[in-house]
Amino acid sequence: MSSLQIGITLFAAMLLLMALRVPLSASMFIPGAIGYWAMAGEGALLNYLKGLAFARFSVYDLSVIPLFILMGQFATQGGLSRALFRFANSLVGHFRGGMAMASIYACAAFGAVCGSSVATAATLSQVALPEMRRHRYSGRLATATLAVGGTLGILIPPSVPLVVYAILTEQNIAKLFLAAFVPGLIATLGYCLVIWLTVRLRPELAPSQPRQSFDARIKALVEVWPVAAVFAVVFGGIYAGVFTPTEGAAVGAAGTFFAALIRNELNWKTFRTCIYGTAETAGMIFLIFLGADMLNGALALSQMPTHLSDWITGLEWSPLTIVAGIIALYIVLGFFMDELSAVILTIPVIFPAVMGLDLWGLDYSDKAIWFGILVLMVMQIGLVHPPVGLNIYIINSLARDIPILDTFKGVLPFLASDFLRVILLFLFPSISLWLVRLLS
Amino acid sequence: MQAHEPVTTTRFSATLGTLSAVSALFGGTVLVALALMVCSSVALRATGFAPILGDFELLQVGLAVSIGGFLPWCHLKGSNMFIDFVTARASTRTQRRLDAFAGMLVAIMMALIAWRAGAGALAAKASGEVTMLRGFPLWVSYALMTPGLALTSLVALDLGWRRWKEARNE
Repeated sequence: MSSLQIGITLFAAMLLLMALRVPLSASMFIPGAIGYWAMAGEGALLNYLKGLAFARFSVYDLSVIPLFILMGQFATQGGLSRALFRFANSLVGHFRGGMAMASIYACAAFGAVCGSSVATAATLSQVALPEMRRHRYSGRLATATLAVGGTLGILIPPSVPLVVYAILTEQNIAKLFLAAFVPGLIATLGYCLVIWLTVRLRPELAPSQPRQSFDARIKALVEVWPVAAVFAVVFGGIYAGVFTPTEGAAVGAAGTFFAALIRNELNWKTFRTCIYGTAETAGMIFLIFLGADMLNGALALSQMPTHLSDWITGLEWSPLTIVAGIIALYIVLGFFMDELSAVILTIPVIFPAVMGLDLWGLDYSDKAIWFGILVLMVMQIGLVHPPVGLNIYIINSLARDIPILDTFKGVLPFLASDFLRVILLFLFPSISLWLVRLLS
Repeated sequence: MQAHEPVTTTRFSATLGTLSAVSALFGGTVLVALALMVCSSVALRATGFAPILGDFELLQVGLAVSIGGFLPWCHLKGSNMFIDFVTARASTRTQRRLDAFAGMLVAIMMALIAWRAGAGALAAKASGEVTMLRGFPLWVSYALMTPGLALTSLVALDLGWRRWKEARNE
């Protein structure tokens, strides 16, 4: 068998297993292990496996992931999402559709202390969904808003998927976080614009409510100081060069831990909930890493990545067309598998090829950042588009009375704004890069 | 995406559930301790004192232990992500049978990894590998990570077996 045939066989086996309800980690691991054994023999496989788990679990930079997840968990249990929603609602709640906009703003603010989309969607839903339903917001608008709002958890730094990208490509995490900031704000405003347009066309979806007094606003503002403080310390520290992103994540986790403690929300039961939540999310990511490492090991043996990379750089297309094609391919891949796994699996192959192209005349590091932000956007879209959109399922499990199809339909206009943003970021690299250049 | 809690519970599965919870709490406690350790080191450095010696490598060896501890709970709670929309229209019996098959594959995967990590621990002990600054023996980290991996394999096997029985009762 040629290397290409082996590579395609492994990939097909993976997709088949995924379709058959086998967890993504094992869907990648089993074909990978069999392929490795077939190509290199039993001894080589056993030797490769010996260091696999430890090598992956003890990466210094990867510790950012569980630490940021832990930080988000403490923020969740500490009732910070409730404080944020109340504050945002006191400011914009009186507009038509204002409560939905407040949810978006609260999601964005919560995203500043939480790097996970699912956690953001889940925690804000518990707070904002009952409120919106009580004020007779349509279920479709409410659930769709929270599903897309949750993705701001990964668009606004800290961002777990961006850390994954940074580690796979050996790029600077702090710079990538900076680059994600403006696109995250654009996303926030884009979502609010979509809500504004939606309720303008169909006012019955979202009744308005009375304006809140100045005093009430100040009172709500006081409640959100822990979020502002933790965000300022973590990112101030990272960008002032006081500490590394890993240390920032540790400081952030301790910060939200103490914030929850001060707000008297932390006891043995909520502490356990935080740990269990961290175990589930971090475990999921590291299990995917294990599977992808095995499959990538086998693919590397088959030399398919090198051939693929050569083939991509040798294409007669313009470099920008190639990148556009890769982005489109990722979006399509998102119909079959979870985007984060897709990225973990394919970035080691795709990234060197992309870096070999001349794109907008950018230098290596700028190119890596620009491409990383595009990949992040694709992962974000993957969280809300059918049929695998994880956020939709999370919201659906919290609002059983609203059919999942309704939520998917409600998400469509937001998806339109997502695609527009991807095109914008693709055409104007400086949107992602100007803050990085400004501060470094 | 969402796994259903299995209907049947045996004493064995209940024990595995308790062990998984203990393992996750152990991993979580290690993680919180690591976070506090790193914080203290940062605080010491920021105030002009010497940071904790080898905080970098302590985080690495601790992290492996922590993640290993998380995995059984993660799989038990259905967070070992899988895709269910392809089979959404299949009968419940077919779905449970596929879940049993999936459980078997995860069990094989984790058993292999656990076995090799155990071998890695022995090899690291034999060669006397230690971390650079503090001389912390690496085999300890390997050895503390391995039970979680092995437990994940058992949890997957037991879950798969319970799914298989569910399929028969459908």
